[in-house]
Amino acid sequence: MNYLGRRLVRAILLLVGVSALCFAFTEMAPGSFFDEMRLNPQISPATITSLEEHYGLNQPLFVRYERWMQAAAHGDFGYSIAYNTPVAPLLWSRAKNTLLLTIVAMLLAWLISVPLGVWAAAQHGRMLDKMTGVTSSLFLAVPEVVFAVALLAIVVRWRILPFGGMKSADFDGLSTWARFWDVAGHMLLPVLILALADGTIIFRHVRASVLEALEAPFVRASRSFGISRTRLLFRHVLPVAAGPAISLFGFSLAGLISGSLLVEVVCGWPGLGPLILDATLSRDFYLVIGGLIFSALFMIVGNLIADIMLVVADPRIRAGVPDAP
Amino acid sequence: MTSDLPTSQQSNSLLRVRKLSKSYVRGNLLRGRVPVEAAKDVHFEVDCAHTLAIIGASGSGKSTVARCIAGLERPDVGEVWIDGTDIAQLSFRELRPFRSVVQMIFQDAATSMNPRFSAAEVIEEPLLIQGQHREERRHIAETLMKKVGLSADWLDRSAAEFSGGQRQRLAIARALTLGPKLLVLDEAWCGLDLSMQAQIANLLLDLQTEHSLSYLLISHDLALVARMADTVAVMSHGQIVESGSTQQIISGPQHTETKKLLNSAKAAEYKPQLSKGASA
Repeated sequence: MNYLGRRLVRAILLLVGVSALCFAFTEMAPGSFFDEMRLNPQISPATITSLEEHYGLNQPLFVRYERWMQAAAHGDFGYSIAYNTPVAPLLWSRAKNTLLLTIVAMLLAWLISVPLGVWAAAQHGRMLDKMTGVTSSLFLAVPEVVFAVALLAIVVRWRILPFGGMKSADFDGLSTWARFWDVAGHMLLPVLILALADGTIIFRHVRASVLEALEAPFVRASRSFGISRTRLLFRHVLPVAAGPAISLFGFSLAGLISGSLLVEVVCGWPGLGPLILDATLSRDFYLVIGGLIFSALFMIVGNLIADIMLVVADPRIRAGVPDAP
Repeated sequence: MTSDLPTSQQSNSLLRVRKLSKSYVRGNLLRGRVPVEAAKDVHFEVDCAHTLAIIGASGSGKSTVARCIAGLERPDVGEVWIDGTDIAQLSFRELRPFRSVVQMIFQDAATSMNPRFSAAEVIEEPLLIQGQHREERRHIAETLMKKVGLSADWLDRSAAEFSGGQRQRLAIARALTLGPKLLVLDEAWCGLDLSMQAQIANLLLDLQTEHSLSYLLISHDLALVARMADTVAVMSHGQIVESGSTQQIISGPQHTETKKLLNSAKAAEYKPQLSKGASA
């Protein structure tokens, strides 16, 4: 089987494993959606039992998992008790917002960090390189929630940006162009927080891998032929340094998704984050599992894209040459 | 041995090195920054179509001298006259015209080439800065491949697919691309087996006769030095402690460092091969 086929099979197996773990852990968590109803004297225990039967929650875990797997194979991820609607469309409507947020944040992070990392490596040891190094360490050390809250406090105090949610109250009455700017304004703060956290890691990785490539003997050899710095960077160093950066892409996407869930809750962005949080608190079983599977799916797809890009960038991986880095 | 300018142009020497010194700063947490003198007051010259070998133990400063001459490092003080110009303190840009005169062949051919490049790209790269046309570059690459004993059909193979000896030939082809007058061979035989070393030595001797090339040979392998070099300079602790014709140095070493090197290499075995190119 070829390389991509193997990666695809591995991705599917991973997804099955994740779903099994989700079922097991969610089941182990104490309490159920109907616990609050049990405390209500106006609802008879018979009603609750019949409700549980209706949603299939009285079945043993294995039976439920098997049924869920069969349905999931056809795109049905179960039924949300709290929202009284199938899970998949509900998740998708929220996942679109999360994707919008993470993709914009990722583009911003990569567009800024990659040139910055290459530049810092080319300036190695000088004042500016040291300054960016210290700044990035600082950003790495502070958790993004702290940044989120600090930035939110600034925005709220000086009212620079719209905050909370995704749209203003008068959104429906706006022209298309004004709608675009409205969403963009609401997005700016969460995107900034996410891009800052992700960009710092990318910056440091790119800088390190470019530095390593610059030290390679063949780069020095080419330098002795009088080859210009620009050609050295673009023709020799960047293709070599691209490998580690592309592998980072998959992790970066996964990190963005998990980071995004938190930032969404803090900034009130209507994405998967607040939905999964609410579902977990109310023990909406299938919604929690669906949300987790969606996040896992993003991560696995991100890694898969990174693998494909690596094969495109470095033919030695495809050919299986033993000395490929 | 005067260092005035006119003599360097009048004499037959292609390369004249005068009072070359280079020190590095090595530091650690306890001792702070300590300067290490890698080369101290080095003098020598290399004549046209001749070979000078610099020998010495590891860390004696041979490679530092080589790198200063190839323009990879700038000496702290001193002069490096090539073709009547002192290149020691030239900037990267000003050095460009002299890159074609002096070329370096590195210790490890495998790592001195971009493994993602094809053989053609490796050989043609130095030509790029001269702005030659595609067909012209290809033609030069084909000629050079044949000259170093490789098939021109292999030009499109990746550099990583060549064997050790073939890669060293490829490195020689690359070094010849710009038509140099002096090749700096920095332990260029490292990691090759004996028969391969002999083949590469023969190739270099043939090329020397054909193109009147001068070689600056950095080595600790006395057998090869005896075979290739006209003159030998012995380095120890950054200084040249003894120099003379190869015959002179091998048959009557004066300095203790030279004696030590000769003893450890059992130099007696190599004496029969002294005449240059005799067994080629």
